[in-house]
Amino acid sequence: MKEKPTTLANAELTILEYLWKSAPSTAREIREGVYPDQGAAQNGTVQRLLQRLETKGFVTRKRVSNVYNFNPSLTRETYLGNQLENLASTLTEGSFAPLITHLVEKNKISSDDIKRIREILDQDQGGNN
Amino acid sequence: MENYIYQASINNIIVASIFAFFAYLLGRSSKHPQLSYLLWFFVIIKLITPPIISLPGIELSQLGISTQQVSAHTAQTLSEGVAHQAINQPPHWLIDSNSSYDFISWLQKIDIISFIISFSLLGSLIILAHSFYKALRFHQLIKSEAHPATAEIKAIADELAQTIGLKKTPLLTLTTASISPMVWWIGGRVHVILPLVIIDQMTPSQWRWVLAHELVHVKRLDHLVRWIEWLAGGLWWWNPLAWYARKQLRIHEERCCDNGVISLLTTTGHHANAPVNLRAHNISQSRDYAESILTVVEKLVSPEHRPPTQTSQINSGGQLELRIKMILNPSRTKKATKRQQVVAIIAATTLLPLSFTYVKAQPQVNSSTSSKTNVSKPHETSSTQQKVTSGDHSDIKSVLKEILVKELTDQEIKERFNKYFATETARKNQRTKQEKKVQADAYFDKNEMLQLSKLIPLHAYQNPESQNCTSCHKQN
Repeated sequence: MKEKPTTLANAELTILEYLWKSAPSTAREIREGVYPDQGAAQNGTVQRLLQRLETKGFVTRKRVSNVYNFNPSLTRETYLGNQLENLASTLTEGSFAPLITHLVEKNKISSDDIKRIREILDQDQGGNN
Repeated sequence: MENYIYQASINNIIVASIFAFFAYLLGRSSKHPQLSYLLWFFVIIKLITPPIISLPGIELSQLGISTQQVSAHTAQTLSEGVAHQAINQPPHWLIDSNSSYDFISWLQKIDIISFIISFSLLGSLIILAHSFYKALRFHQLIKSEAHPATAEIKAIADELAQTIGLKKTPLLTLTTASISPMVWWIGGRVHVILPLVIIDQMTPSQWRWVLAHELVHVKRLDHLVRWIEWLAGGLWWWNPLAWYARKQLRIHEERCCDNGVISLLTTTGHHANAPVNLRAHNISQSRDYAESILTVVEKLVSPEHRPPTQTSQINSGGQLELRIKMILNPSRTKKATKRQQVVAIIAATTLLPLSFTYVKAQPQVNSSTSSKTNVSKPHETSSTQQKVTSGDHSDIKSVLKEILVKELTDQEIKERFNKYFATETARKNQRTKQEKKVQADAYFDKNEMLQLSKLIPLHAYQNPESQNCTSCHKQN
């Protein structure tokens, strides 16, 4: 089952933004790109962030010649789309943010409801043919 | 101010309930979606507009509701307690400010109505601020995630906008998110948001209907109604009438929109006198529109995410099912005539500013009671037990300054204070203890009061006949 998308912390998002531009990258390349003036002191930070991203499923790693290369597992558009979907669901279903005019409230439609409505349409077509 | 808010709220609920009753009756038949929508819209409007014109109608006390009685009782309880303290204890500004009341005394002094109003307003502020912040975040995401519409989509949108009667085509935004097609506006240009999954998996003749539906919403200015609804929902967050009215507004809005799509995009209406082949064509188009809506629902939520029947809410799918039936049989609904709409609007706008409730003016409070309510006065002592007399009002600082500068006698000091207290008492009858304390703090800070106390000894006007006061600054 598809995992519910999570929101990333700012530091994690920064790593991911770098990977969207420069993947595949090693941890060192990521550290040099994200923390250019801080040297090896931030190696640990970048490692921890990459581990968290990998655990959450946003990053994959592959061993190439004794180093790990990291790649993002979803595109920027997909991530933003998930964020938008989460926020839209909150907005459209929340009682206090009725600022959207939307065609359907999809999350409230069950399979049986759709099936019943489909039958109505089919009956109507049968009656008109 | 509190009384006005309380009165206006009661009045709004009464008038909105009257509108809601008629809207409910009309909406039960499902035949007049436009009129039903108008009435529910007026319910929302009434909830957020203040009454302007009072009618000799219902007095609030007749409803068993009275803020004046509550305030007077509270004031009397407060004043009796304070007078007792004033006689037997030094002025409160000499008492350690950290002294605490017991819980029961505190409860007795709370004005319940004020508390409820404050709580309600605080809740509204939090809810409106939070939801607006979320809306801003959503807007930022839309802007950052938007995919530009292709030339084909733009051409179809322009053609539909022209048919519908829009002067300008709204901004089309495509998104990878599986969200419902929607209209979004937060200032600037109106956005019509379409999920890419619909464009990819439906034919142009199918998603054309979806786009038409959203454009009809724009034509109806429903994106503006959303903000009115948002304000009403935020201000009346605790009111079930507001919840129900908003839900009904949405239901009838969608029905009006569906009717608008069908009437604007089919060749003619579905009236019985139309030629048979034309009627058949229109029925076929209505069916295509209904099919498009259902397809959107099926595409948006993948089967494993669709909730099972047991988790559906009571009317989930019910409105969609009813909408589909209405779309397939548009002749069942009657479009409101111009005359009906004008009559409804005139009737509603006539009733909207009226106030049916009012607060009867209370008689002036007895002077012996009112003289005990001056808790905020730093030099309050037994002089406050004097009867209220009309006198010149002057600011307390001016009174003190006059006392210091003119070197008045003890008797003159006492008379000055009495005049000031007498005038203040009449004005402060309705204030709560908290307001008096706030005013006292605004007038004086503690240091200032301590300094003044050194210059005007307490006993100087407690016992004006005393001639043996060696520390009194009035002595030669």
